[in-house]
Amino acid sequence: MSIIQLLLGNIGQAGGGVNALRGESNVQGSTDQGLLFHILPGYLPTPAASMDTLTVYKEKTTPKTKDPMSANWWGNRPKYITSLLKAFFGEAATKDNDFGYSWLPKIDDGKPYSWLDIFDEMYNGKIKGFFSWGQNPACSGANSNKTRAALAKLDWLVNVNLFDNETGSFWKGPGVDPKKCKTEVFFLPCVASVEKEGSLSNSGRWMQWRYKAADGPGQCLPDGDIMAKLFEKVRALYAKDGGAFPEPIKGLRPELTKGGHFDPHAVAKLINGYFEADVTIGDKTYKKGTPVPAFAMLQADGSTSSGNWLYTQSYTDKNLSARRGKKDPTGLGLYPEWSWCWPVNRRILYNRASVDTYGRPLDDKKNILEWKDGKWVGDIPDGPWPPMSDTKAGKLPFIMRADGLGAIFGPGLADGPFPEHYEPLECPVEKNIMSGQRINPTAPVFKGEADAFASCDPRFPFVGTTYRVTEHWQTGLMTRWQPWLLECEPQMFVEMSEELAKLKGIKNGEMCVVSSARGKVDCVAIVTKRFKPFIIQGQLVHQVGFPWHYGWVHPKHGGDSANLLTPSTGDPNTRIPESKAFMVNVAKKGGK
Amino acid sequence: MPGKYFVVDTTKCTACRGCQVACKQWNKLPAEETKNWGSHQNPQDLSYNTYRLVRFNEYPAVVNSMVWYFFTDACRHCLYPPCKDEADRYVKDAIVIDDATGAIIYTDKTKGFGDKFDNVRRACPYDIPRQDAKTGVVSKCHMCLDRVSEGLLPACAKSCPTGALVFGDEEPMKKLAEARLAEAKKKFGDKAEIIDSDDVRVLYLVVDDKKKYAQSA
Ligand code: SF4
Ligand code: SF4
Repeated sequence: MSIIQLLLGNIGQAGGGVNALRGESNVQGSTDQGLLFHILPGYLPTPAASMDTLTVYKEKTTPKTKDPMSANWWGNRPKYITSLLKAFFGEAATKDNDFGYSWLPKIDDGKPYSWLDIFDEMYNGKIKGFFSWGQNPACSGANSNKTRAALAKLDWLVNVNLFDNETGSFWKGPGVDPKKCKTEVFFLPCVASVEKEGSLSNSGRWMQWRYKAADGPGQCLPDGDIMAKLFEKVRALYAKDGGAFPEPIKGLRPELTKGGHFDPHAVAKLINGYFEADVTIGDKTYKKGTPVPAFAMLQADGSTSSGNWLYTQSYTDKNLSARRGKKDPTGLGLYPEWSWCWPVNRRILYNRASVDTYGRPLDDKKNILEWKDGKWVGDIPDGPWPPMSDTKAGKLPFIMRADGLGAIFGPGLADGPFPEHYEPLECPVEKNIMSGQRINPTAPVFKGEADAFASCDPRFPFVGTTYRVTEHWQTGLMTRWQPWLLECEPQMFVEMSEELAKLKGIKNGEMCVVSSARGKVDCVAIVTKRFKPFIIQGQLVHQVGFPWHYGWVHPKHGGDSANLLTPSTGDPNTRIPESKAFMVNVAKKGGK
Repeated sequence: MPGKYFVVDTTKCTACRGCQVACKQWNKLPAEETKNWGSHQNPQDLSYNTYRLVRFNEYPAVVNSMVWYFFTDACRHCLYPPCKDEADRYVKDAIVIDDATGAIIYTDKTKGFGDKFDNVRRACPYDIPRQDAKTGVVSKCHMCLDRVSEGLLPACAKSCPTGALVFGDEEPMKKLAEARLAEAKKKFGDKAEIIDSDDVRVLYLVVDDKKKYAQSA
């Protein structure tokens, strides 16, 4: 998508975004704040074992350029990592101890730690304990039988959730003998998102503050409070008894867990960042303890902190993300006073690519930015420099790349440089008609007993795919307990064409069994004209589809997860599981 | 006739069922214990506890291989309600007409219908009223009179994200229905119509034989 937008010249233009439709309201925010294994908050690479000091980390991760026209914004990396370490460790982070860099966990060079990999390690008995925060891996991850078996290899599991779920109760699930299960499970009930304060960042990078609508029931706590309480307890035990590797535990910045309570305002302010000493920039002196107004002022010498450089400016004397101003001066829907947008309230990234070299909009109708009388007018420009016609001070627009240019291919991807068509790991055809390589040679393939695959196998002749319905949310953890929604979509189903139903002697509404090389699940048949057989490479191929919202815990006749069928393989770069295309069989229940 | 009207533009409906669920939520109606019966339409039919039901129907089609019609079914708030004519023969004013809105309201007196309920139900051209097996009380959509009299939209119209289900005063609603009908005719052909537009306060726009949307449409 970004390649197409780049080729169309749309990057930086109003309406030219990639506009990813995310499956959760805060996917953007979670990656901004380092949810993925390969990045720390603010898209700083996770330190690897080979980067043993902060100096080496900076050297290896900071791009360089000799081109005076290139802003090379990532050249600022040293400022951002040092400020992040100061946000983590505060006073304990000093120049002499590399600001606590050595306390950060390091990943093995080149080793992935994605969801698929974590559960593979767990399945192989290499992970002993697991905190499951607001998730339901026993139903949500690909190849649920493998996930459920992996949970049984744990010594302990802490399930933090609103309701009992298939993950916390895996030890009494279908086919499991509780007596043989050694995993000790703790259930910590937490409140729902509307029962706590905080922020969400949408796909347009708007950080939107959300107030708390209601108190949670009973003794349920916000997950942040649960974390803070646990941490304070661990810290107290360390103070009393000592323990291995005490520095990061002693050194964690106090306001993060103060009094066993998570204060979203204190944390949001720390994410914005503070001056940690009196700092003079230009002719202005900023006092120690005051908020940093913008990320250009962050420092690499430990005199500033920021939990995420991209969010500096969001919460200074005011919480800008709580703004609800409705003005739209450009008329293009930028709404600059509604919430706050990273970075520095810039609504469109790379917006200097929307103007010609003289700073005139390339598209008159979409004037988001224009160089007028020696300054930029419109959106917050992507950098303060004049247009490129100023050969001394002008800069190339793609400031996050070392060469300043947009690129449709380059190093850094597992497969590439160009996107390539491959068949799914399990598929109905022997050959890829686009090339001699059938499946992606860099896709993750696990070799354990639970990782059976069956491609072009007569036992599993039909293409299977999973999806969602409007009434349920993810594994249904929240919606399966909601009677009005359950009334609409009460039960696991499989949708199939009239042609396939006829072939298999299945009538609409009949109970069926859908099976794959990894598992099977009971489904009510919905025979529909919405499914049609495909002709693929001259063969007639049937497809069936089913939702992944159900689980055996509740409701009683709801069925179980579609992920019992899906394979644990996925995209080689993101390692997103390949749960949308795999091979299955379907048969009438009790029949053949 | 002044008062309130709905426009239901089935061509804009995505069957999200916001209206169906919002109706239950506002009216505190319990969920039924349903099963998947080979359709996404659930519950299968209107009931004492289900005033509004989104019906799903698939048909073969020429241009695309199939069409999928969605129809959010509920009382039409007839201008001269035949259900009331019938009911008045058994219990006077068990069914009343709200002056301000024209909403047709079933009161608790409907429990007096007893076994004559079937005649009342049959009198409704759209097969709407439903009786509680235990108490004998009869129920259906009441236009959220409790909300509307406070200046709020009915729960269903409030929840509709697509503009398929709209509520308002007679004139703007009739205008909207006409405009939508003209658009629909252009796009879907001359079969497009507003069902029984002179008789009801709920103006359904359909683009095919109305019986394809609901047996009782
Ligand atoms: S639709 Fe049926 S129930 Fe509603 S007012 Fe008309 S006759 Fe009565
Ligand atoms: S809320 Fe609107 S779009 Fe959704 S089902 Fe009802 S009428 Fe259709």
